Amino acid sequence: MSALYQVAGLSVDLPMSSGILGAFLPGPKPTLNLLRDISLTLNSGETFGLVGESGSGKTTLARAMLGLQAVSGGSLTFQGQPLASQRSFTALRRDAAMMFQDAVASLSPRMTVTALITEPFVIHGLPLPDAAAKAAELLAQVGLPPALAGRFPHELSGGQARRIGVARALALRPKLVIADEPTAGLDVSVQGEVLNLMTDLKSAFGLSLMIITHNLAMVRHVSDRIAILYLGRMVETGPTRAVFARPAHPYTQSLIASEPQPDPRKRRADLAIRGEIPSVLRRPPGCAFHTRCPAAQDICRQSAPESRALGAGRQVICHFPNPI
Amino acid sequence: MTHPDVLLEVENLTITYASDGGTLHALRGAHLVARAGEVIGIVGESGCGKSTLAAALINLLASNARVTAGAVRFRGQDILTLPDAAKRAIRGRHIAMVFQDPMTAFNPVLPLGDQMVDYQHHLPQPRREKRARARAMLARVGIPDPDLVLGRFMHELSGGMRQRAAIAAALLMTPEVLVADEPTTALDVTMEAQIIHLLRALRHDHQGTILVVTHHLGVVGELCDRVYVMYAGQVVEEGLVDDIYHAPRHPYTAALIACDPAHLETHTPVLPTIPGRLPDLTAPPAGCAFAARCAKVTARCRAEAPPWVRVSATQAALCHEVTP
Repeated sequence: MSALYQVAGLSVDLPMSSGILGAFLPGPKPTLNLLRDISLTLNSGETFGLVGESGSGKTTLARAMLGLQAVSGGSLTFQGQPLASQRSFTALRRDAAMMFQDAVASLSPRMTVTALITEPFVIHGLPLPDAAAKAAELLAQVGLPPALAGRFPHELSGGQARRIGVARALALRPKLVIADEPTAGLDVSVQGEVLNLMTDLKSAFGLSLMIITHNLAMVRHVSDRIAILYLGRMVETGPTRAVFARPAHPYTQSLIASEPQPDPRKRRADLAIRGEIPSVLRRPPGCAFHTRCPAAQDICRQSAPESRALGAGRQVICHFPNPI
Repeated sequence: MTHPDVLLEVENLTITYASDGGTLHALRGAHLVARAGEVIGIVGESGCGKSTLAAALINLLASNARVTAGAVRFRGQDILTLPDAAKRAIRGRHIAMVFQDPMTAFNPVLPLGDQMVDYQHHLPQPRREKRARARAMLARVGIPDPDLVLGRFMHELSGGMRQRAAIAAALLMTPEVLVADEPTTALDVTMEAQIIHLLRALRHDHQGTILVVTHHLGVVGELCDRVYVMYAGQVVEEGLVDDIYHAPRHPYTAALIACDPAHLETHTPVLPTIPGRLPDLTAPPAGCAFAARCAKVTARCRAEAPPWVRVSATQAALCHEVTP
């Protein structure tokens, strides 16, 4: 497998308002650190899962990777070419498409399905001799009846809107599709249909997929590798099966143990994790997870752990990782 | 006829909505029984009628809903036919609801404490005592610093805090019946586990019954004693949570469980789905509503409405192919 997209040492900071006085005060302006030192490689043809709770920075990372969010450090490389200028990101967005989180809201309410799924050609100034034929072809690919072509977004069901999102993302035959919460709000039976469709199209077109989700039960079945984000740090990454079998980071372990079990015989007696994810505005010192970590010790409160390789393609940011 | 500890009984409840596309048969003879001390799950996918059933339980049906048959009996009395003043006397005080989205369930421009005092308008006590009650209830649901939180507006609270506050508000009047509509859908998995844990702890000091309406089998498995599975406006199976999970009798129940990725132990790249679509409820089929999607379908299923077959004292299913 070859590297398709490489992220190295990516940081995203937002300037914070420091009031009218702050504009005159000397010294560095306060910033909000959303992502720090994120490094990951997406290989051709693989499905990569990006997991974390709300506020962990999953969507910010995806937006930064497509040039939709200014970055403050690190480098992004697509097919060996560095992405630095707006022009390079515009070119990238032909080859890398995004499926946005809210499938219905991300479709313009005043455009028909045909206009929506052929819009990528218009945006990138590509020739589109027969929009109707292209739309019919794309609809067929995502398993929707051709009769939908003239519909508006409010006339679609949640599952259909999701498939239109897939069709839009695939219109320009991209090499990479980033799907932000592709199954949120869908019924379980429809969830499976959308994911199976994405998996089928992935193998048919040799795509790479990045799936952003907080649904662990789903990502465990569809992804080859996963990364777990916590407060803007990539606390663990590795092959999905190995990570689920033996999570190295205590946070990964508690996430997996928090998943409600449909089998009443496996009912959990106690909580795997207490408390809430802290606000990025009040990031805990040392290891950001120490406030909720069952294994936290003094060093965790004082110094931030470094990323370390565990072998077998696994990395963890923790002072006391579980043996793998 | 009614057993003394039966708190709530839904009998043959049939509700239609007038819509532009015709009359929508949202509930078609739904039934359930809830006894004191039970936690009951009402499970199904979008469009199965579970939200209409929940609205009927708390007597908050939409204005275009019409009850064409059946009854909702609270302590033996049909609450759907009561005069409005009597409905209001029951709602909130005896039957309370935790709404799906706690952000929109509260008033955004009033502090939480004021709202929680207002919820106790049935009681004669002075405001100061009501505020103390609200404070005690916030502490009970695990909100740290309840005094501070009483003065907060909803947008100042995190998602998990809001959900805890919504549960506290519903429990303020110590209702006999608590209806929780998708109580964890808006939450991350770690908060979801904590809310499940809280509801479990509350059932011990809550003398009444808790009805959990959800599409999430994990929530049911962790929380409920008995389950009603709904499909296309009907209850298709009822049983103890263990029976429903380990020995489902209705083909829809079995398919629903098979679709849940949390149920799959081994890595499964192609996720199971339920082929086909829900029937159009403006023209419900004459036979079994699930016939078009069922693997065990026979000619009789398409022609005749299925019988309610009791397979044990606790389990029953709406199916031609089920034998006692």
